[in-house]
Amino acid sequence: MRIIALVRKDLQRVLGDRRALFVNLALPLVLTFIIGLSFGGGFLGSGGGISAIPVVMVSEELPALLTERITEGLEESGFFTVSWADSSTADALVREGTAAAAVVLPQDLVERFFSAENLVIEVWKDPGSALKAGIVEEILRRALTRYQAGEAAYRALWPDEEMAQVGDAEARIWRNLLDGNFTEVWENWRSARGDTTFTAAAERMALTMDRHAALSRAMGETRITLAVADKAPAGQTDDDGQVNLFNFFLPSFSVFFLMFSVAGSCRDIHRERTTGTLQRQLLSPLGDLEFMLAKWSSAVVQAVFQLLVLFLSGALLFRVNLGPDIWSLPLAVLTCCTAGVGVFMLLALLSRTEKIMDNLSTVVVLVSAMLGGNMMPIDAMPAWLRAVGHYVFNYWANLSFHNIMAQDTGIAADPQPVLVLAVVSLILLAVNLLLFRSRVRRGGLA
Amino acid sequence: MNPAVIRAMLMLRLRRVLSDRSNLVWLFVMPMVFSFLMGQLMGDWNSGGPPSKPRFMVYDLDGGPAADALLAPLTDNERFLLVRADTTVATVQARAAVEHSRITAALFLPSGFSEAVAAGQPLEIELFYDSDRLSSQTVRTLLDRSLLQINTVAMANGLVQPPATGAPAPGMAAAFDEARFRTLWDEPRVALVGTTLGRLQEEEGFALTKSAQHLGPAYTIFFMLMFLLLSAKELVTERHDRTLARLMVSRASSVDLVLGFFLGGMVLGLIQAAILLVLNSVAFGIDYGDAPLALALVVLLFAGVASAGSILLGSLARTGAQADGLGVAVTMVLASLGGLWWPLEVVPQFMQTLGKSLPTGQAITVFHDMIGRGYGLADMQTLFAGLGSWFAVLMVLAVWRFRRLISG
Repeated sequence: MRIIALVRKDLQRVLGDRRALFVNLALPLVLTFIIGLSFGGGFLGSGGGISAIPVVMVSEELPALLTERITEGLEESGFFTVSWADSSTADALVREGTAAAAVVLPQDLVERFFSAENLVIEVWKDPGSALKAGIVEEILRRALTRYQAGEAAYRALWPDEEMAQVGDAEARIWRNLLDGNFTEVWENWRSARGDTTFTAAAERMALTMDRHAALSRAMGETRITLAVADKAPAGQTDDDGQVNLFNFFLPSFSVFFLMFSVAGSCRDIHRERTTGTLQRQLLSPLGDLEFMLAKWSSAVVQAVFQLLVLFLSGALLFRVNLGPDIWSLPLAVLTCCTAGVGVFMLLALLSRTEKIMDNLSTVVVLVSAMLGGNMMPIDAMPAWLRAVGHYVFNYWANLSFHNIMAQDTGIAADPQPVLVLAVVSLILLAVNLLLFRSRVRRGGLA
Repeated sequence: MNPAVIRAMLMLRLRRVLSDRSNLVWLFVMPMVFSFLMGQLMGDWNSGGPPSKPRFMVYDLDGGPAADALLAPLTDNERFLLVRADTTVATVQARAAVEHSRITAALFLPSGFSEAVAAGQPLEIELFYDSDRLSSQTVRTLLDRSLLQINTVAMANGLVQPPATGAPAPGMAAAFDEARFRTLWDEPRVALVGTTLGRLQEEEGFALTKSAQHLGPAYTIFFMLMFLLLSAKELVTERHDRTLARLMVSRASSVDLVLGFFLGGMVLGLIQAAILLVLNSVAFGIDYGDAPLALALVVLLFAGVASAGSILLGSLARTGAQADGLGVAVTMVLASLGGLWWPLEVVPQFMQTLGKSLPTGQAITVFHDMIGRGYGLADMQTLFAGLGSWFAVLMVLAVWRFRRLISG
């Protein structure tokens, strides 16, 4: 009963500080919402993240038919918004960041394409958009690789047909024939029929087309295929095949802010010591173990309340998944909170003053958050950091929430994270009780 | 205005902050720790990834020349370590190893792979990979390319008309010159060349492709803002301790007090920024561009914004705990929206617009533009005007609120 009275007293004090409550409860939700707006997820759909990449195409003399086709082809993919400009405008657009990249096609592309000349397609990249410009370059490089393979095979199969043999007159014919829209191109072809250069060009073209057709057909018949199995989606997908990113972000931010609030609760020992109320309580019939258990319990109750409110709000606001059964999440919440309170209670008991505890706990919160996967998925870390991450409690807390909320896997299927948290909680509780008793006896809390 | 009072307040603030060693941790140590650790996590956006090489396991039961040819372009890669095993494991185990990030990818080459390639027979090989990992994506890209080469050779050999069957039919060739094919493969006629424009475009992979170029300035801004906003509780404490009231009955006016607090915060912010920027430059090789005036102005304006914000917060909060909580909240929200945690280019356009309207977004964009584009003062007038406006608005609000507090 005395423990319950002490816990009630602590909770009343906490509930009295509404702004602190607001920060602990509202801030994780606000940050989760910001991340949702940034990267998409839940009711915000999948519209977040990188938007269509603005690309400028540069070609001085490309026939209209080809520019239209290239524009349509690039925009159909949904990755790009395409505009055409001269090289100086494109250079300025990329340098100022209006376009992520410019694709500069060589001058006299059509004529030179049908000759043996080397061609260089340039990609000018925005220095402020390393990621987007990198995507443009990578997609172009992949598309070009297949063409390069085909051309290398063609020239190794029919070395007699060196494209250098195409004279200037014939190259001009090709350019004129392809100039304009579809109707104009057709009219160009019709009107050129009597021309001897055209006849020679047409014969060469028939031969070339036969070879291209055979090559194209052969390249479609892949002999060795690569069957690729990607890693399973990081989380359970909805009916549209989308992963709700809030299932990752909300637990992550919740655990992060939980560490701050738990540190605050544990720091209360020092506040009580400074104001003298701790000493008064220790002089009462209350035993030191009872006092310590009451402090531990009130910190756990506050933490559980905080996480439950956040997760329930997340379920309502962001359609966060609360797990496959009714007991996995509460159990994970409870073990996460007991382990967290154990860690920060230990820090409080090891710290001489509130100020030291304040600084120490903030350092521990931030470093643990980084190592335990609250700031970045632990899978993305280098091996040595991943190894270190296993030694912070929030790693196991994040893992248990990830399993339950993102993977929709109950504790029964993977009990390890919750078991680790439970064992850590028990060990730390015992250590904290012994440490508190030792400090009281040595007069360290007087 | 009484310069002596202002100077005394400024010196007192500096002495208080710098004499407390724990403050030095927040001012200088933690920002550097964050820059280092986050740099380790983010790696190089364009080409690096984490510095340690994850393993790419190849379970090679063939061991023939085609397997060697397939894997040749994947040896000695900077992003992964190719490990060839002549035994195999169950595919379930390989998949689990990829799922748990123990390896970056796993490839199974069955026995008879080389024979199938030589005979042009169809065959399927299995790759387990993780599309979220750069190293794994690289494995797949290189394998796709290597396999394309092998398939193209096999396909081209299929277009060679057998000897003694007369002239080649349309679309058939008399022979396939494989040596010529390999030369053309290595030196294609149509090539793609990527160039990053900007102030140092001749340096390959320069500028913001290195995450440190973003993280160094980003965490400098973040910790400047956090330290100054969290120091708002000092103003609350001074109110509670009645030291402000005591100063008011002396020769100090409210303007002196505001200026004293403001300059104290601003000087602290400037000292912090200067040391952090130098440390980042020395430790991580960060290059801040060629516009020292712009660099000085952005640091000055941002320190002003943070210091004015700190006074406003200290005037609004009733208790130290409230000031702390609100300081953390404002810092986190401004950091996440303003692109200090991730570059703004990865968020939708409306979030970019919102981010660049905030002081954090404006400050980090100035850094990006100086580093990557080589911009100077004249090129970034809009951003500086934005930062200046934030400073003016916050300063007016801070003075107004502070004077009300004093007079009330």
